[in-house]
Formats: sequence, C-alpha cells, structure tokens
Amino acid sequence: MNGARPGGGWQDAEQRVAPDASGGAGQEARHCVLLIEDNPDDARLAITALRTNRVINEVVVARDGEEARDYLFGQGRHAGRDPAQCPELVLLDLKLPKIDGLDVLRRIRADDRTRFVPVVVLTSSDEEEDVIRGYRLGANSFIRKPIDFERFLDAVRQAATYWLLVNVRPDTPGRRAAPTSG
Amino acid sequence: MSAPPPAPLAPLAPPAPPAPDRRLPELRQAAALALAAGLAVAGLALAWLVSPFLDRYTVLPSVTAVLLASWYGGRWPGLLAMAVSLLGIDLLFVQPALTFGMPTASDIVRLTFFSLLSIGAAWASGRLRRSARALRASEAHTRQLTEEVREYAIVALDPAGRIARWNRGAELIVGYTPDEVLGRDYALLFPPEAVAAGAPQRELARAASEGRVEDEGWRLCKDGRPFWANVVLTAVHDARGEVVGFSKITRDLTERRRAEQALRQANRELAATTYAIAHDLRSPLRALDGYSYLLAAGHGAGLDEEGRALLGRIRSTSRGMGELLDGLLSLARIGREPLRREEVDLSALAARELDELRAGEPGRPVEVALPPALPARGDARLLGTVMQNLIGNAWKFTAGRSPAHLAVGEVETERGERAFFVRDDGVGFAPEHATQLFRPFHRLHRADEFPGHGIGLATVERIVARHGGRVWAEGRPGAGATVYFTLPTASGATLTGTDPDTDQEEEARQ
Repeated sequence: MNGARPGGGWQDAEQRVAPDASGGAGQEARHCVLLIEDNPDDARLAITALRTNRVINEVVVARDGEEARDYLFGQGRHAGRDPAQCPELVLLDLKLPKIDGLDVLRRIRADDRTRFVPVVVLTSSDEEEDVIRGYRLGANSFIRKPIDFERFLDAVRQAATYWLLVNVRPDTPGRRAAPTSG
Repeated sequence: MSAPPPAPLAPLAPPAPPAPDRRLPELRQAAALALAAGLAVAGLALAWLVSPFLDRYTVLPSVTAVLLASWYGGRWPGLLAMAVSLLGIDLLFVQPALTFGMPTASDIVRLTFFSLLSIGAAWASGRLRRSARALRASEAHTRQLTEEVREYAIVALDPAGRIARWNRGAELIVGYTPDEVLGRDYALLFPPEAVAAGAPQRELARAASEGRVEDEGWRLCKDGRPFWANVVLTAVHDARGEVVGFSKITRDLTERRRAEQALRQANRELAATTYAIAHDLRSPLRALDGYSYLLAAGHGAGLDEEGRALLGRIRSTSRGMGELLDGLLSLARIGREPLRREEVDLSALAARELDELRAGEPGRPVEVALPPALPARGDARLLGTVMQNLIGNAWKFTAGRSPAHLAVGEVETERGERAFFVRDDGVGFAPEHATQLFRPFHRLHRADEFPGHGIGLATVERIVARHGGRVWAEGRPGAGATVYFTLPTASGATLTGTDPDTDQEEEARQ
C-alpha cells in the first residue's frame, strides 16, 4: 500500500516532517500535533482534515514507530530535542512499520515526560481486541478511519476541538489555545 | 483329544467330591462310555473293599462313579455307569453274594433311590454340557470377533488394571504382542508424565464409579511413538455388582487429528488473509473518496455539471465498496475471535436496529411485532450482527409495502428446539432459492431493485453455525420471508465442537 510519496509544493509546506533538533524549535514544537502514520495518503488526508477544521498547530508527521519514538524522546535523528516539549496531541495509527502503534503508546505512557499527552488512536481496524488493548495501554480515544471523507472530517473536527480546546492537561497552565473560528 | 484308557483313571473313583475345576478335554463318545464303565467298576471295587467295615455306605462309591461319569461323559455314560453299578450292587451286595438274587425290600428302596439320583445327575449334566458347549461356542465366536478386529485395540483389564486380553488390533496399533503385555499394568500405554500424574488409575476409578469413561489423549506405542487415542473404558460387573474387570476399546485418531488440525490451521489462515485483504483494501478507498471530495470541494468550479456528477459517482462507488469490505471483514472475523456465551436479549438487539433504521427513514410506515424480551445465550456482539442483518433485510425488502409488517419472536420446531425468527411481508423469494440465500455473494435481486452485497445472510449463517445452531428460511414470492435460527443452549458438546483449540491437548496430557 505504500507507494512513493506524491510530490508537490502543498505537501512540503504542510508536512514538516519532524524538524531536526535545534535550540529554537522547542517553543514551536510544544504546540504541535504529532501525527504518526505510515500511509502517505492517510497522512495527507488527516492533515487536510485538520487544516479544513482550522487547526493551525504545526503538524509533525512521523512515518513509523521508530521515528515517532525518536521524535518524542529526542533520540536518533532528533537527538537534542527536548522531550519535555511534548506535542499537544498525538494522532496514532496502530499498524506501523518497525515499532507498532501499541508499542509506541506503551512507551509514551511509560515515560514521565509524555505520560499525560492525549493520544487519539486513528485506526483502520475495528478489531475489538485492538481497542481493548489500546485503552488498557492508556489511549484517550479511538477513531475508526471511515471511508467516507466527510465523516472523517467530522470525526477529526470533534477530536481536535475536544483535545486541543476543551480538554485541560495538568502540565500546561495557561497555554496558548489553538484558535478556531466558525 | 485322545481318550485316556480307563484304567489309569480308576484311582479317581474313590469317594471324593467331584472337582470340576479342571475340565478334561472332550472325550469321544466311545471313550466316554468306556470311562463310565471303568468308573462304575472301580466304584464297586472300592465298595467291595470297604464293605466289611462300612456296609451301610456301599452305594456311595457308585453314586460318585455315576456323578463323575455324567460330569465328564454326559448323559449316556452316566446312565451306563448307573446300569453297571446296579448290576454290580445286585451281584455283590444283594444276598446271596456273587449271584444275581432278588433284592429285599430295603435293597429295592436303596437301589431306586440310587437310580433316581443317577438319572437326575445324568439329565442335569446333559443339560449343563449342552449349555456349556453353546457358551463356549459363543465365547469363541466373540473372542474371534474381538481378536480379529484390526481397527480397534480391544483390551480386557482385570480389576487392578492388568492386561488380561490383547487383540490383534491392539497389537497392530500399539505394537506389543500379547505375550509382552499380558499381566502387565495398562499404565504402560500412557506417556510417563500422565502416569506420574496418576491418569491411568484415575481413569479406572472413574470407569468403576461411572460405568463408562470416554477420553481422548496421547498414548504411547511400543516404540515410544505417541498416538492420539480415543479410548472408551467400560467397567465389567458380576451379578452382585462387583467390578470384575474393564474392557477398553481404543482407536488411533492420530491421522484424523492431524487432518483436523491442518484444516483448522488452513481455515485460520484463510480468515486472516481475508481479513488482511479487506483491511488493506480500505485504505486506498479512503484515499479515493478523500481525493474525490477534495477535488469537488477545491476545484469543483472548474468542472461542468457532468464532471461533478461523475465525481459523485466515484465517491458513492468507493463507499459501496467500503460497505462490501466491511461485510467481508465481519464475515472473516466470525471465525477468528473467541466465542463468548452470555445472556443476550434478542428483542433489545432488534429494537436497537429498528431505531436506527427508523432514524434513517423516518417517514416509512412499518408496524413491528416485537416481544418485550427474547432471552438467548450467545456472543452479544455476533448476535447483534445477526439481528442487524435480519432486521436490515426485512426493512429493505418491505420497501414497497405501506404499511410494512415486521415480526420478531420464537417458535418451537417439530424437533422440539427453540427457534427464533424474523418475519416480514416484503417481496419474499421462491422456495427453491431457500438454501441459496445463505451462500456468500449470492443475490436474488438486481442491485437496482434492492442494494446489497450478498454477505448478510452468509454472515448470519456463519454466526449461527459457530453457536452450534442452524438457520433456514421460508418464503414465497410477494408474500414475505421468514428467517429462523436456533441457538442451542450451551451444553458443552456444541462448544467443544465450535471452539477447537490446542488446549485439549493439555487437558488430555494431565
């Protein structure tokens, strides 16, 4: 299913794939949404859905579990990134190359620095076992990616509104809200 | 078989209780008669010898001789011994001795008593010998039957579990010859860990208390090779109800088990493959629908009306295929996930489905007969899928009726089972199609008449089958359809049949 990434300026502008660590990036990355998704089409549609719903947070895309881990914990390619500057929201696909989604989730919950990050699982499976295991590992929410794009837009809008605007996290007093408008 | 000469047997004659434990081989008639005569003569001789001291008991040795002759020779030798004895007694003991004189009244009483006793003994022994012969013949027949059976190991055990008989089948299946195992504990057939866990003794104890035990598990051949055995162990009781032994019938099911496991494995793989395919096909469909949406939303202005209509068709087609894949996924999932047995209210499941359908088409007049509760036992999620499909079909195929009638309920079948049903008064179907309905991808209607993929009833069939039940449909064109299904109450039998897993092995090994 993983063809070559479709090229184009639009994509490059939107998908700032895990920027290399630099001292100044922290401030910005703090309010990012981390999208962990290996399928380029799904990633692109998810970003479009976020943008369509006027989510202006930076979207960082990790293409497999290893990249997600490196980004979250400042390792490998992202050595030096401050893990305390964690994303505002993680959108996690379960079926991932290298380290699978549930394993990423386990690592996020096992680390004090990322323990309270909201994780919304975007899954293409509706296997109840996955859902149960996901919740057991501390997923905050499950969204099944529907085929109907309008329903997907709606699901993303609800999730983004709730987790980025309504929900209160313990470690971010007075943080900047992601603005939306009608 | 050759007849021993009477003389050496004569010493047997002295008055001693006949000891029939050791059976002589069958004597041919002539030899038997000669033996009878010999016994009678020996009895008389003994009586003659002891008569000076014990003259009141002169008949006793003759009685013994007649009994022995009857016992070993049968009716005619017995009567011959009687005749010889009568003559001898007259000759020897009726005064004057050594002549055939007229017996006195008291002699007549004694001789009559002796004769009646002898005739009785001869008659009884004749009967006894006939039935013994019949018994031996029947036993030989049975023995031959069991001995010659090759497909089953038929083994007799004594009450302590030692092997008492070992047929040809046992020899072929397990490998030991009778000489190697007779008298040995049958535990030698079990794997060492089962012996250590006390399985052989437990099996015997259960057979003794319950009469019969059936078990499946690993057993060992002579060469140490394990084989998967089906064992039926039955206790044998005597007339007083004491256990006098066990019969053990064993079948080697290794091949069948292997085939079953291979089949299960293949089914699992097939289900997993179907699942993966259906799953992976969803993601390009999402892209297709998503990009079509974006094209229409962002660039719709550049398209004419037909272009926009075509985009709409692309989207509806991809959504249709999505539904098909969802159907395939749920069909594939039925075999993959463990079956749970819980209390389920089919009525509530039907009501939930009807609410959704009503919400989708609020204007449709549909009258529903739904009992307040319809308790069943099964997997709530799977039975939800059953009701969803059946109610969905009933809803769909009554589209032209105003008002449409739907009924959900239960009936008792002619076999006495409890069957649930979903009935409608929609378009129905021809009775000859009643079985085709449940085939996957088989549809009775064109897509433009009634939309669908032909998976719904196949899914229902699979779910009901996993519960150990059956499903069938009745209908007539234009007169509606009724789909029935049964959900046997969990009695274990259907559960083990439908939920096969490797755990059985563990159970069998303990």
